[in-house]
Amino acid sequence: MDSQLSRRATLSQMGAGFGTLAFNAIAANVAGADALLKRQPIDPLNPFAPRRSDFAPRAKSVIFLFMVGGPSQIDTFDFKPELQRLDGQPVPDSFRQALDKSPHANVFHGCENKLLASPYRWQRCGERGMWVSELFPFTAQQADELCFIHSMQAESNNHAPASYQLHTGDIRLGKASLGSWVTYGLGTENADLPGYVVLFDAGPLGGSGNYTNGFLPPAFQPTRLRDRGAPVLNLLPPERFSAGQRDSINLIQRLNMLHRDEHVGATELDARIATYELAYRMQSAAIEVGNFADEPQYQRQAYGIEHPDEHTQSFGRKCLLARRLVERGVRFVQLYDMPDKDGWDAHSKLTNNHTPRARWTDQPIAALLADLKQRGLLESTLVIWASEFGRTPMLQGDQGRQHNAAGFTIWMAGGGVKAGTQIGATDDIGLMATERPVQFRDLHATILSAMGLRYEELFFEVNGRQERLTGEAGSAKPLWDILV
Amino acid sequence: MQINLKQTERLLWLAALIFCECTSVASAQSISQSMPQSMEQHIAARSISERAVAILQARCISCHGSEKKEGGLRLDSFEHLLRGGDRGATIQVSKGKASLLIESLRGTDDDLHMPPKESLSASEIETIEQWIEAGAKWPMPGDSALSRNEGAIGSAWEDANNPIRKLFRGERLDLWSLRPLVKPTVPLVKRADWPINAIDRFVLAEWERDPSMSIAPDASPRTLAVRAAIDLTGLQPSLTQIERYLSNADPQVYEEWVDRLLSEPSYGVRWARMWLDVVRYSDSNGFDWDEFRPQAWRYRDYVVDAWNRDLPFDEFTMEQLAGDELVHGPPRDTAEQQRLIATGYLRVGPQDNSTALFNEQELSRAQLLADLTETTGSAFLGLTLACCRCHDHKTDPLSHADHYRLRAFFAPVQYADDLSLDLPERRHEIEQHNAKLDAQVSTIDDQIAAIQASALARLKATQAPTAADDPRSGKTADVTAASPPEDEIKKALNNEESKRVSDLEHKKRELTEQRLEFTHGLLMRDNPSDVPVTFILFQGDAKAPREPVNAGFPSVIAPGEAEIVPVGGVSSGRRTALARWMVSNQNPWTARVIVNRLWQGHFGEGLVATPNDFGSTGARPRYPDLLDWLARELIDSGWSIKHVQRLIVTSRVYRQATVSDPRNGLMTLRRSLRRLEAEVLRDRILTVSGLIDRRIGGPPVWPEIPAEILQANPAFLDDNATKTKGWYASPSQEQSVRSLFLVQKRTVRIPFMETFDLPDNSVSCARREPSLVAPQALALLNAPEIEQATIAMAKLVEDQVGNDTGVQLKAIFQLALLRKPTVQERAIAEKFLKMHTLAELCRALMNTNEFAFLD
Repeated sequence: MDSQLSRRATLSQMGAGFGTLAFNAIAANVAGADALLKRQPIDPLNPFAPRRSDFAPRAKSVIFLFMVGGPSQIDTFDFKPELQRLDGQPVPDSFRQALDKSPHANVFHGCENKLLASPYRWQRCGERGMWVSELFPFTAQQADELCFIHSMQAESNNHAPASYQLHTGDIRLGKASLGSWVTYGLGTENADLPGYVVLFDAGPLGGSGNYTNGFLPPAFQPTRLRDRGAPVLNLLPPERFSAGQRDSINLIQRLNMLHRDEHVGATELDARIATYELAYRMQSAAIEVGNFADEPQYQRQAYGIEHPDEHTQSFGRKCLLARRLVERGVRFVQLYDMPDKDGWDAHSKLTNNHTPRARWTDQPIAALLADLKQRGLLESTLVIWASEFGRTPMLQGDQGRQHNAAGFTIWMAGGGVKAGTQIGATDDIGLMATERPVQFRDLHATILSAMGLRYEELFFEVNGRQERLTGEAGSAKPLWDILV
Repeated sequence: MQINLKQTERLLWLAALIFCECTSVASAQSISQSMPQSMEQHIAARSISERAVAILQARCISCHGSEKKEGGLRLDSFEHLLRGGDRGATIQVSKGKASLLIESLRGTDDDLHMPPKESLSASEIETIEQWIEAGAKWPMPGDSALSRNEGAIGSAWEDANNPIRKLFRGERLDLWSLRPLVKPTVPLVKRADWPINAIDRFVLAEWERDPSMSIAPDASPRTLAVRAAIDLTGLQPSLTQIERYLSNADPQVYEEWVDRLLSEPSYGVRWARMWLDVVRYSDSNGFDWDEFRPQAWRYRDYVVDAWNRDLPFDEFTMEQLAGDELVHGPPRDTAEQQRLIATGYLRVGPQDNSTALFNEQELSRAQLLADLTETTGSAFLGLTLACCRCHDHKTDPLSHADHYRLRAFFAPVQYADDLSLDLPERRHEIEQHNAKLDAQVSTIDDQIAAIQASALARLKATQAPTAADDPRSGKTADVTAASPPEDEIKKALNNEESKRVSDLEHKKRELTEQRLEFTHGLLMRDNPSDVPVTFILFQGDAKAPREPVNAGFPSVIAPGEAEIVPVGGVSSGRRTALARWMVSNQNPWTARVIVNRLWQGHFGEGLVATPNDFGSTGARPRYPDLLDWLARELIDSGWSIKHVQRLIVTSRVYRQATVSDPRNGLMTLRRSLRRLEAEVLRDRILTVSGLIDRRIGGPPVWPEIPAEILQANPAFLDDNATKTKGWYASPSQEQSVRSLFLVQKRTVRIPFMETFDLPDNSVSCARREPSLVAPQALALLNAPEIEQATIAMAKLVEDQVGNDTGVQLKAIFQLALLRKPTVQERAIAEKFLKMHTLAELCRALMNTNEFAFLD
């Protein structure tokens, strides 16, 4: 208890703030704390200072490409000849019975008992001959960089809960997101830029509950950057204060110094004084990272910034911005492909939904992978392409598909992931994961492991309970075999 | 003396709770007629005082209680009984027959026969008579036969068969928060001149044992006055108030200042925030659509009001957990209205509205019950019930079953969105009003039908026969049979008829619009006809039920089944049983947990540093005797929150100057500088700029927020008829309300508030951790709210003091910081004003550390 107090005191000395909570997580009197204590404590005055990982990291940064709304695995990366053959037929009993026996029986809810073949053509790509549909011709060229997981499962078949689970590990609202956990564990490499950035036109279904810091200290909330104009909200002063900004900050700081003289030893005052200088530096750093003027023309073209479709341009700018951010040491970039309010949620007219969305995202994503690789950043940047669930092989409405949490595909690339691999499989019609089902907690454990973090030891004490991204201790199984 | 009186009232109230099932039959039948057999046995088992008070409660209190007081008489406490009403003393203790009460019950005096409609039975009157003979004592809460559990397994300390004792092999029983709550003796101290009240003695006694501790000097009168004002009301005082305070030589001036602050309506606004954080209050559902909850604010206002009227915390607890079980059917008075609204506590958590689309209702129901169990555990008990949702607790004496035993109290809950909150008179008024309108509408309908019928008949007469009524088909059409299609009617009407119909329809619309709606709330009640069995869930999975459990309290203390008395067929009575236990002497947590929250609110850190975790992984109390003394003091004062806060704020410990000591808070109980919370900071900016709108309560105000923030949840880009999606900014003149009254959505948060650490409102937040990060500097420098406020403040100064720069400068310092500038500050600021505007100076002061920190 005494040593606990002295550590608490040390943190307080550095400026109170959220020292206590950080401290509770680090020094809680529980098994595993010793290991944690080897990790550097969080300096409450500089919470984003880079921290040592638990072991050698494979990846230093993450770019998480979140496809909102549930793109169909059986129309993108999970080719099912049997489904093509059974077009228009009822679901064969064996598949239906297996589903009914699983916790995912409700996936059938709202569907017709009738299979809908994929309307897209498929081809084998890359050296390993992996199947990619015609929706993604550019990504197909990068197939050798990708690692597919064809057997993902989510706990809910509804957008917000499943999406919360992919972001925070829990279908309930209020937990901390992956980006917050990673920056909480590792800090960030660039003091002048936020460590956890989100990029979107419209956010994911379920809103900020997806990318929230939740119960983690407020410093680990993400910052939304815009890909046009002033990149951060309130970054620049209003017109009338613009010319006097520096003078005003100087005045504030002089008054603060006088005030500080009357409160000897109050380090929290120093900390706040420092935030004004940092804010000033952040103005220029954020503007610099968002200024693409120094990007060559071929790069702008490659990312789709010159594409005739404005949605492709917009997503291209975000992908390019993501690269520029990780290049400058930003730890975690969460990117959403929501140019509108629908996402890949193709309950009817699958092709009307999926074809344009693929066009908006395919070229920029492929350009991002190629660019990262060419700059040598891919090996230290983990790129993840995922959604909250996939879609059913069954028909819904007018040529649409229902949500499918029972089995769907995601891919990862770079950052210590074995390129050109695939694991897991759904059944022959792409309805349910039957070979090596993977849960989101397994994915989270894999990501944290790639970052060099012991996922079970990355916890935070909340209302007397150790909260972990990967849930109950012992429940997550990282996919060690896909990590190099 | 005041406290003693209150105490007696409290006992009655508790007694009333014990018998609250009786009130459901109060108006119509005598208790014995309507009670089921088992209930009668329950009654028989009760002590004479329990029975007598139950009868009074059932038959008399509705007219002679705290609300109505007919004839100036209240029968809800011993004191009131003695005091009597307009006709003088009601009872003569130990002289049952001679009491006015008994005379009026028997009707021996012709002009006074009570109750007026239906007499009490002879045996009921006899019971009351015997009770008066015996001294008319109010029952003690522990007296109830109902709370005894004959032959049942005892607590873990007294019974080897206690499941917790067996499960953890007798370990874990030394958890500090399990110790019975007894009032410690106030210690003696050497420096007897320093302490002001008992709090100081507890603290000083510790410090005198520890040579590393020293007393900090008192804060300056100005600092202390501002500190108390912001701590208690969330608002900084006006310059005039401060100056009047400083020039008052009365030695009790600070105590009076504190009393005034405690009586300000803004006190409730400030302290409601603390509780609303704990119960994760929000105005929306969360999840996919994050629908607005148009009625949630009633619960928010209930909390504000509860704090303002110092609603005893045990009643506050009772009403939130089981307010509906205290009220049967629509509310009869404002107190009952409030009790119903209080059940909003059970409703304010996140809720996914779209589960039925994906056949996940069971999952969602399980989440609701888990959330209620866990939030109630955190909020009232400081216990972590989230762990034992999946397995036995890893460190605390709580079993897997304990989670589900507690969850079972909530098993029958259902939403009560259709329950009218209107009082009988108003309800009657609405019904009458609507019936009148309906009658008028119906007359109009008849008129329209008549016009249409005659027109159709005319049309038919002039038309050639159609196929349908061709004589060859053997059929004839009948204009009155099926109603003809709209366009056919239209065709039939001539111009004059069309106009008449359209006028009548217009009138009908007008009448329909005049219909009055009943008032609804975000309420919960029971579905007593369908009380599902609660099962222990394997690993917390709703799809994996294991053995069934009955409702019960933590087994370490009370391993048996909870005694539950259904509430007159309208409610299971489960939550009443839970609430009673929450505030009973058996429960060691509730009082400790709430006084610790109050302490934390004043010192930044609680006596227990983990306010939602009084378990073994949580912090241990640093001054355990002080915590227990305060908890007992709370109970002894009739659970008066204001009493405890008054003690804290008037203590010498609180009056110390802030000291930058690394051990602050937890160890020394001295104050350190604290960055203002988001609400306080925003309210302060609005105050100094003169923009603040101090109105309290009502539906939330929607601030203007940038479109890009709304994009954060695609649902906000949508619109719907009931306006529960989308974002509808309130008129700009309404936007300067205090921050508590801004809408609090779950998936889109107001950027300024979020930047200053507004907590996530989906799980209970026990403590806000103020951060110091660069985006806060950007917000305070550049946000549109600040621009608006600084312009307003500059204008205010110009209007008030004219154009002299020196005077303006002084006024700005006084407005913002409640003091004059120093010579040095004046010089710096004067130089600044040569180049820049008054608004820029205002902006700079709003950005200073002195403005952002509470001293």
